[in-house]
Amino acid sequence: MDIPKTRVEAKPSLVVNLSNSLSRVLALLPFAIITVIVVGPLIWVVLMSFRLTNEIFTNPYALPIPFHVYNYLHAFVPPKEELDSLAPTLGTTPQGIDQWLQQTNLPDGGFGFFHYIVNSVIVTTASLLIVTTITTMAAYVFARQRYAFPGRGPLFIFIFLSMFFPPQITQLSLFQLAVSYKVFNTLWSLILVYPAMAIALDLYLLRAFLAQIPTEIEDASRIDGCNDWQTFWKVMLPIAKPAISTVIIINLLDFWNEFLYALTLVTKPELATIPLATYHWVGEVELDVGGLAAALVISMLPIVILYLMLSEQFMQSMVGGALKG
Amino acid sequence: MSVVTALTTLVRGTRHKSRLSWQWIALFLAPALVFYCLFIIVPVAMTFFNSVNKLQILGASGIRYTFVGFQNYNILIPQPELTLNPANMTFGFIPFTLVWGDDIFRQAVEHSLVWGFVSPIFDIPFALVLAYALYLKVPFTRFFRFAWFTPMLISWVVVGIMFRWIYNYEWGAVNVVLRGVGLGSLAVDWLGRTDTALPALIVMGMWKFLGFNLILMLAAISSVPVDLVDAARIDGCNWRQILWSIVLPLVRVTAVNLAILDFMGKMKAFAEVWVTTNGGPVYHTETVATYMQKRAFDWQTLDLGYPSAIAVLWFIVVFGLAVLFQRILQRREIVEF
Repeated sequence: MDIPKTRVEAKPSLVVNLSNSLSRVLALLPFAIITVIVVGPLIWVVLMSFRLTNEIFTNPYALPIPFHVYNYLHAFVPPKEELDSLAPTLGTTPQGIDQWLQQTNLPDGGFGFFHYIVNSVIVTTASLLIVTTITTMAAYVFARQRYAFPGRGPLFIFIFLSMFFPPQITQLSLFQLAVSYKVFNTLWSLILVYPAMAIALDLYLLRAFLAQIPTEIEDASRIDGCNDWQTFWKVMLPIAKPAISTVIIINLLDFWNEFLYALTLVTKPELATIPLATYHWVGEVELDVGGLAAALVISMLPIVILYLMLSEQFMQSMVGGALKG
Repeated sequence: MSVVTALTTLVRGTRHKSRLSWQWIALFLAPALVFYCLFIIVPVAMTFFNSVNKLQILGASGIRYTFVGFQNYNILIPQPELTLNPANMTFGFIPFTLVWGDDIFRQAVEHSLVWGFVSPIFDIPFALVLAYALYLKVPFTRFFRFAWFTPMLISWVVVGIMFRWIYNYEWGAVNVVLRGVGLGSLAVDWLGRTDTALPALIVMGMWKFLGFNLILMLAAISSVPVDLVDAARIDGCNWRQILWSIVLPLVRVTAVNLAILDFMGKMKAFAEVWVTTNGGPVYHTETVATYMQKRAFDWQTLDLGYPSAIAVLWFIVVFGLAVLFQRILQRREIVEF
């Protein structure tokens, strides 16, 4: 499942045949162009986020000179009503807040993006905890010969097949269920639904990994007096770390970026996750390109930072999870 | 463990070596099974049940069910009608014409299918050629892989808003470039025109998935035995011949798998459409997923039965195709390394 690294053996080479440096550069040109097409838009959005919207409309393709953080203030400062209610805690009065808002050129307050980041962090973390725990445990049973109960194989295939379900088949019923069990418009609805949508893939990946661990390790721990839970927790889990981290990375991306269920199950603006909040904001201020650019940067930033730190692992995980339909 | 063995064990009074510890199995399996049943099996069953009913939402709490049988499906499923006029024949040669009860649904199905079939045709060969080029020791391979993969991490909401700007008529990057190279006459409102909106979305999808397809192709190409390539080179093959006669046959399975994956992904296209065009202009980018969403929540029909029928139909199509493809490939994994 590894992505082979660039190999050192002799290979037919484009570059060796190109003797002078000019043709070398020319050979790289197509790749450079593709890089510009792929990465260019992202950099463009980052640049725009540091410029005022009227500057952008005069020339959308310019460097952020002068440099403004106004868009980020706009994104992070809470709306006026919320600030007013917070005034005592902040040690000022609503008048003081009004004055500050006038000074910073945000008469109605900002978008309060921090709030949505918190929502997203809560939902993603809770769902990740749940799904990782329950699927690792279940995968252990599906992987080890010791637990080969009759009907285990068919049960696994039955769960595995749900990987190919389009989300539409559960979407409306989950909405209906959420309404009848009073979790509609709460973060709980997402925390419960996200793990379910990841079960099939996680189970598949974890089972494949756990099944490779030699039985001797399991036996040894049992001889040392561990019961099944201790064997699982103290012996198997540490060995399965690479697979678990793969699964966590895949799920993290899925949950953090999830849009469909969030749109269906959460209609209160203050409960929105980041993608949903960004979507709401586009509806409100479609022409505030600078402000939206800041929102987009805030949305991508956490994942992109993680990617910069763990790029190889991200690529391997996504490739490993590629069988998801 | 069969009943006989169980009884034998009991009678003998000895512990059978491979006795199943059911309590542990239950403990380990229960949480996942509970989640799976409550949030997958129950909703799926409900959707099937809802699809043969009319569900009226009465205010905050109540839902009134009226059984309507297959009425929803009768509207959705195209009915063949005998035709004798060759011009109206289905596909031009079957003496039937398909009569669709819901024309927007027909468009949605067409767009989803077109998207699903067109995307892989461009995505996969492009990824293959690029991966092969990187394999031929282009410098900075690691950087290119790293950079091209980035869009894969970004949510459709962000990508969609970005592309709304990129496709903007006045200042979008596409039109700015076109005008810059003197092709200003080609500049159009890409997402606002009925004939360019869907292609524009297809290109957006290509942008997002390029790095992903490329990395998988690169992995497949790198697993081609070096000896084979070397032997071919010694025999005087050029890089095009090596690609065509050695690499391509060996990565065919990966390529087909990727194409299937791509196809299935497009069948579920929702967020990318919802954020960019919302199905417009005049339903020209409507997909099945967005149409279902609209019928359920936006059209104020207050009926969840009809969209449920759409969901069931599409579930059968998507799931059926997935299983069919699996069967054709005779393997359980879609992607093999």
